[in-house]
Amino acid sequence: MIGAAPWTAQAAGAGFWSATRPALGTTAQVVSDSRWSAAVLELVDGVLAGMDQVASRFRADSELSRVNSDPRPEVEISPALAALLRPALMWARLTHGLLDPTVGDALVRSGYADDFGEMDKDQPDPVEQERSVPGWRLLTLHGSTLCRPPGTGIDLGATAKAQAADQAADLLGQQFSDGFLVSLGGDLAIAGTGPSGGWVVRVTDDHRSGPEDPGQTVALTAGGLATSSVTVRRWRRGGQNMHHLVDPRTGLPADGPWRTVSVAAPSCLQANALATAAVVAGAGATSILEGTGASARMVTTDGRAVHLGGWPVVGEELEPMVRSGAAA
Amino acid sequence: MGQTLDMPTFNDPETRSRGQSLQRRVTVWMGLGAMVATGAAAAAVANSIPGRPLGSSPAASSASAAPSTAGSSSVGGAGAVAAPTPAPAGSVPAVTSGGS
Repeated sequence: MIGAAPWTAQAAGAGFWSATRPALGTTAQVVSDSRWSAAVLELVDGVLAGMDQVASRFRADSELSRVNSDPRPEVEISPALAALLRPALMWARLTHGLLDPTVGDALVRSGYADDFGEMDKDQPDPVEQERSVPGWRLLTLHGSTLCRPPGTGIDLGATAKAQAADQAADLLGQQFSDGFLVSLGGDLAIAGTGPSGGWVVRVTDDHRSGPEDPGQTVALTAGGLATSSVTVRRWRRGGQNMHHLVDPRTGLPADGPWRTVSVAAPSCLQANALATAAVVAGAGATSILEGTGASARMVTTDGRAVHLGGWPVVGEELEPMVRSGAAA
Repeated sequence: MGQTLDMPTFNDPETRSRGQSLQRRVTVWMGLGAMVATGAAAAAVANSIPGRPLGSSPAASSASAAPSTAGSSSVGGAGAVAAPTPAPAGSVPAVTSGGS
């Protein structure tokens, strides 16, 4: 694939192979429990290239960038972009707007206007005042026709990367008989049977972390697992710390009690949507997650862990968050 | 381990009510996860959410009216939710999930 960084293959534990490369502004990783074939990586390359071409906010030639700059109130979009917008709108509805694809302009105003690897991480401009985002209800998608007020900045960061992981895993599962684990920036999707006992996954604040960083090691047999965190994609603006998880209600970085939320769910998209919504929800996050059927590990800004929905406590390296008076 | 939560802000009725309402919506969706593999199924789920007819939101209505294409994810994923399990002692992680 032209322009794509090469994959770096390596052994990943007993009997496993892993390949990684930069993609979508983060790290793509494919782990298999059998031998590699070029076809596996080519298939994933195709998914990544398609996602970048359609949904990147940082490529002037992406379809999303063209839509965002189109002055017409109605634009025709491709089936691929429509397929990304539909779940983004669905999750906006389900979360009462905690996830909102119209956060694009808020991200730009907060200083996240360029590819994160290239942007200035210490910006002198002042942080703007609170201003809610335009709101997902302004977007209507009728077939391939997208209607929205011109100038509404759409960002699919809360859902598209996870969809790409799901799609890659689905395609791998359809075309190969091996077990695969696809990770895009630490958001995981599983294809095939995989190893006995499940894939062993380290869960922590930063997907680039080494084993020395505190976290928890768990096993996952199916579905998806995603982590949203305010600790990684950070920069300073006007002397204030910023991050990329925007609260649509304020148009500013979410400022709640959670620094990292990991969710296991039937798909990576579901897991990522719930994890991000939980970070944005702040104090109401556990109430949101409880009863959804998802399992979650939530870490407070002061480094205490909460486990919900059957997420194991065994192996947790952080101090548990306990109810006052509950412990003997 | 008997861990319980320490979330004093849950005592705030507004926060609790909002969370419970949202939880009901997401629960419906998660419970039907395997069914929501297409946009048509998503519409059915949206219709099942109490107090919010599908037609009340033109955006969501139109957004969920058409089946997903090959470019969409398998929203239903693996079907039943499988919680992670404790990793076997001494096992080596194949991958790390964390913020990016």
